[in-house]
Amino acid sequence: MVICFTGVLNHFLRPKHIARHLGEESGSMGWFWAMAAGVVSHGPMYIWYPFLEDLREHGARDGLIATFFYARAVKIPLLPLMIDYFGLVFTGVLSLYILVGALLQGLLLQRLVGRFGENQKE
Amino acid sequence: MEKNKKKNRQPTLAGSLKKSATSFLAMAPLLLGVIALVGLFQTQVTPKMLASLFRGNPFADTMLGTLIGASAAGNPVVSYVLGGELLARGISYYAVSAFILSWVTLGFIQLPAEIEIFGLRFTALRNLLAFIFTLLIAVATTQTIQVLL
Repeated sequence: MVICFTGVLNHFLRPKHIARHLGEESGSMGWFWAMAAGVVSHGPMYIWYPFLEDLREHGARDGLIATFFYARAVKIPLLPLMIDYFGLVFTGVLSLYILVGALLQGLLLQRLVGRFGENQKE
Repeated sequence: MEKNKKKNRQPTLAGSLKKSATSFLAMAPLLLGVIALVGLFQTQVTPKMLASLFRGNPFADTMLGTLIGASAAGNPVVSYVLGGELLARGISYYAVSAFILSWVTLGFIQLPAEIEIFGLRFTALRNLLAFIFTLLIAVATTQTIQVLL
């Protein structure tokens, strides 16, 4: 699935598209998309590494990738199970704090990294 | 002119898929190592073993819950089951919320793969922030539900 995702991404998306939605030009909508993508993404974190690396190489901001990673803690299909184990109040409060935390973390990481669109590896 | 046109031509879908399959296969040994370690953890660690580690101190338990969750990996459902077992054994919400949160957001097992792919600086910053936020969110969640319930 990830191979197909990455292949289709490489084929259809140009760096200017990524820059518009997830790069420096994306503004507040970029944060929204990163959080939404994190919430709806399935599977283990490491499965998404190749896809995210590709997005990053196309110009996606580091902060948005950090937001995506943290927002993955909210799993919509698993919410009923979580409510069953921990209760509605706990699940609701935790999910809300996770989303706020994901956003703050992305913003902080972006500040710490310093420059928008810097994708170099050490 | 013709040469320039060829250079700027968009790759075919098959070519793009082949390229992504090649890069994915190049990462396969790293990912397989992670999967093997995850399996090892799930077969060797029991809820009883985990519960015996907590001491009832909110700060220490939050920290311990985060560290244990970060050392583990696998399907989040497993963390819910273990978290539910821990709550039933009288372990606090501080520890349990930190545990289920760090299970998904942190991963010591995945660190080498993450460093290899995203670089040391990004990985270090992301994991440090995720660690701090997990502690803060676990404390904030527990305090909030204590007020609400």
